[in-house]
Amino acid sequence: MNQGNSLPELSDKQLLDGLRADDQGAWRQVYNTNRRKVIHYLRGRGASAEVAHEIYQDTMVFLDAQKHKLVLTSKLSTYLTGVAIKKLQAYWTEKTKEASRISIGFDSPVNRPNLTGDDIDEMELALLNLALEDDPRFALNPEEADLMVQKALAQIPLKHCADIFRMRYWDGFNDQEIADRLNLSHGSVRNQVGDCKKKVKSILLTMGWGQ
Amino acid sequence: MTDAERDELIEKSLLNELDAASEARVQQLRQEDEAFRQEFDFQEMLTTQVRLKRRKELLDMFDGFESEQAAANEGTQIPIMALGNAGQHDVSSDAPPVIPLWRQSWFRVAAGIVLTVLLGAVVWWKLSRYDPKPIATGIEDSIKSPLPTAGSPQNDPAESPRLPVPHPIDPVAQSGKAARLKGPSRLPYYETDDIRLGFGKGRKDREYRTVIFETGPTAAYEFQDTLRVFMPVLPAAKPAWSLVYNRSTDTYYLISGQIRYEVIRGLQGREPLRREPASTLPK
Repeated sequence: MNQGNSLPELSDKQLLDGLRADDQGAWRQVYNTNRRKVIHYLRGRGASAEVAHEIYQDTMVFLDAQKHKLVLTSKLSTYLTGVAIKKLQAYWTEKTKEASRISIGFDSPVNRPNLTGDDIDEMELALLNLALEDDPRFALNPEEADLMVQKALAQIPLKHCADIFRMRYWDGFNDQEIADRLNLSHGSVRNQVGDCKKKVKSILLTMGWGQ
Repeated sequence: MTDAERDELIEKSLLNELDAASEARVQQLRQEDEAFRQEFDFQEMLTTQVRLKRRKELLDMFDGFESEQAAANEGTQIPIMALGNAGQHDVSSDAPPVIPLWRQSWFRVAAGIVLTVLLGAVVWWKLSRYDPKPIATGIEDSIKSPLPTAGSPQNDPAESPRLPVPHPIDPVAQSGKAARLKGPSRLPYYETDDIRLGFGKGRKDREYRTVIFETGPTAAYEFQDTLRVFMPVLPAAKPAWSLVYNRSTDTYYLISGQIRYEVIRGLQGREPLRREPASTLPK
């Protein structure tokens, strides 16, 4: 990640370009500029300081995953506030589900005879936020991570393997988009993805993985 | 299925890039093919860890920003700008930011309402004093004074040097229009000592006086405290009438455009309306 300490006041487009280039100065400006506004917004909707802080950082993580495909139709701060509110809604929905222990069958209306209007609203809200909730990039528990794979990834000798993995599994680029960015052919990318996986697997095997 | 095809199928499944049929096939293979299941688990773990790694990098970076902000704000406190609060505000806290009074929505709305009311009051005041049709123009020698009351010396008929002089009554125009002025009308009231009853430019009526228009067999008036005007056919609303008090002659005039009737206050009974000779009218 590029190191940038201070930037002049940049437009949203310039900032987005900076994020796409992993410029830390751009990240710093986006993070610090929007922090108080978004957290204030979340606090105003009942989030505690801790929850608001976590949701804000989740919002920034979401921005990172979306930055290459994001087309701004409004101000960046408005976009971030919208994402944060959706995440807060998903949070409240999850909390409400936990509290009420509602058993909901989505497959058939017959399974909904005891639902109240509020329950239906929660279901609809939950469905609206499925895209956020179900995306494993934003619902992961680091404590459950397999440290072994982390170590294996850290041992990958070729940096481009890490880059390819990130572009494919985090940024969501397909093979052709990766090829365009790395000035490689589509087949070459496919081969390199396979080679990198084999390297990680071989490292894991030497560490006793799967035994 | 080659290894490459298998890897691509698993990868697309993990990235939600498969259609429903292909996804169903992947799930079936996971159930039936042990080697496929192991490869799927490996790639799922790899994908998850790549994502976690990036997420951790980002969160570390964000925490670094938080630390920088906390360090920058340590010992640097910004005075509260809001009114009525003494003290200071730590900008690193999650408390709502302090918004200056003039930027708060409620203040802007209230200011807008106040300005609108003030503007409306000014417009109303202007319109209420607007005279759409000046009755005359003349030299700037008019003198305004309060309307003499019935008991004031200058209006006392016993002390007034002027006595009503009979004049031929001009016939009131037989317009045939409806008596739209019947009853009390609030007429603009002017005061002047201009012999021609002219008004200096920009002169305005001080206030309004009530004049009662009634139908009668002849053009006449009664003028004690209230001026009552009798006409066989009451004039229409236009041209507008005005009541003018000429200080130099202690005489009132009922004026509408080129028509002027002299009316004397304090006379007993009904008096004929006397029209001013055309020679005294302003040019």
